[in-house]
Amino acid sequence: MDDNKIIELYWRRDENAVSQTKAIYGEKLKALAFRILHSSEDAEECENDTYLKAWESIPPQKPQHFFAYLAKICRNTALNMLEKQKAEKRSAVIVELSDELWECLPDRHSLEEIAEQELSKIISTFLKTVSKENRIIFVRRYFLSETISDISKALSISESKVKSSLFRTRNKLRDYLSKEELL
Amino acid sequence: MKDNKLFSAMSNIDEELIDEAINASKKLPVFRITAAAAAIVFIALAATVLVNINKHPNMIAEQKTSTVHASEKADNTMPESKEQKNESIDSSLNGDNSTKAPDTQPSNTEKTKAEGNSGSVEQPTENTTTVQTGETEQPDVSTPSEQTIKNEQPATNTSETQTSEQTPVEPPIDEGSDMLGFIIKDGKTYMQVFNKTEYTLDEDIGRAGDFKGFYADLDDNSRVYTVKEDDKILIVKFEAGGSVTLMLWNEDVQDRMGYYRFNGLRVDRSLMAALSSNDGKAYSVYVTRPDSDDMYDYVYNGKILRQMKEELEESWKTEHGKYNPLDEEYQAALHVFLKEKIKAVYDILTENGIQAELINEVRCEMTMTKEQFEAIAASGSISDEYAFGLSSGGYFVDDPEA
Repeated sequence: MDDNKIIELYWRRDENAVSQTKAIYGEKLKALAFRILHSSEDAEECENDTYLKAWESIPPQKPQHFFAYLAKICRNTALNMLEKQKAEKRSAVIVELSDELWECLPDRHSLEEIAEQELSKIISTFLKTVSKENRIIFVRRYFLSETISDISKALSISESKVKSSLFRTRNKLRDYLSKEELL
Repeated sequence: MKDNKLFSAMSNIDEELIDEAINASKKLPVFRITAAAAAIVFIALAATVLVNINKHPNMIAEQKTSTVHASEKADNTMPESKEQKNESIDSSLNGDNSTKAPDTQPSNTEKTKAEGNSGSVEQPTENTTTVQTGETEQPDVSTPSEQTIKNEQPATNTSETQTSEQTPVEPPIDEGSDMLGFIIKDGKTYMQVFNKTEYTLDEDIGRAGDFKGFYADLDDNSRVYTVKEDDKILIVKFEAGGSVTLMLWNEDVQDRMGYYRFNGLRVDRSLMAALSSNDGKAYSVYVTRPDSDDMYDYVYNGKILRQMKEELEESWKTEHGKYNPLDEEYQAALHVFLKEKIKAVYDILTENGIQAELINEVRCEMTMTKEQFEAIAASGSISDEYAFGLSSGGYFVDDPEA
């Protein structure tokens, strides 16, 4: 069943929408949640919450990119779950990812004034200015939370190339934010 | 991480960027393999030419021909290499899920939701009290502590909240005429609107709109009652537990955008899901239409369609060692399964002189008197198929000629 048919099921309020979504994207969503939460149980809960939120939001939403839409919900849900946990329980991987992105900012109080939604738009605009390969690597690293090794294998490029790509893109992002007078 | 705004903001980047990254694994390597193959062919060509130049200048033309064949051979092996590469990439992108059975139903997610919303309970309002009155008479289903409506608070940073003001694509409501059905289950309120212009199984419940109090025997020997609360409220109760409250659509209900707000509180919509997931049972609903024809619908005597399908899935797993709902072979088997059941129902009905029509291979509609139904139900020999047949859309009339 393709994405459009699944979305149609949601619009018809057909409960098969959830089972079809799970059949096709369940493992991917769970893996995404697991990379953030590092707990199978939490990842499963996050996956189920994703279905619920999709069920509640479609309609009125009619996603153009269904899995990307689900992934956004899943990531947000996972991060919210993580936020509720104590700081010491935070995933080391997420701390690592977060720290990498700090490199884009002159200090940790930067960007406090700007709304998160606005910042998301700015990042999206920025990413469209970099090369496709660098963009893909950046999104896989900081949205999908994939490891350097996973990205390297998935895209058939060396780990050092992934690292240098991320390094360059982060620097470009910092320059871009400066140019936008956000830093 | 909320303390890193950049990382948090990544959550809401454009979906096309995410989509591009997700699908990149299928594209980038192909390009690389092609480029690598081209490079190998080029090197091989160059090496061959160089060797032949050293051997004999006259052989150059002949050797060029042979390298063209070599190039073609390399191209012929390309698709396999691509597939192999993509397989490994797909597995790195969280594994193959094609054979995973969908074991999560909305009821499971509803459970998760109930847990997730445990912190935001609001007191029921005046109108929900009417609903509660009916529910309290069925203590095994709805206790006072369950009679609260959980207020949904969608996450502020999720994409679905961004465009929730989109215009809903739904038929207009005929206020004061269309019905609204409620059921409270596991502390949540489910709601559904029954437009007169729509025809769904759920709508049949709404056809109890004449508000006549009555009861009926179900085929599982339990009874269903309708209780007239007032001029606008009717409660359909199941002896086995559970009830549906029907009321005329009114100003208390707002925002028809896939869900509803009742007195300002967001509630679930899927009444059908609530009914069918009630302790694994489904309840027969016996209602009276305003024109006094009896309507028997959403019938179950031990099994509903979904449960019968689940049984088929189990037997499929046992027989084949795996189960994939999207598998064409399984879909064909399911079709045959449904077709056989429906045909059996049709044959039995017609043999008993009941007016029945095979709408298609998997749908049968029938018309019969209550006495005919009771006679067949009393025989006990066809209960499952019979119930299944009814669930596909049968109804009674007082006069079979009508």
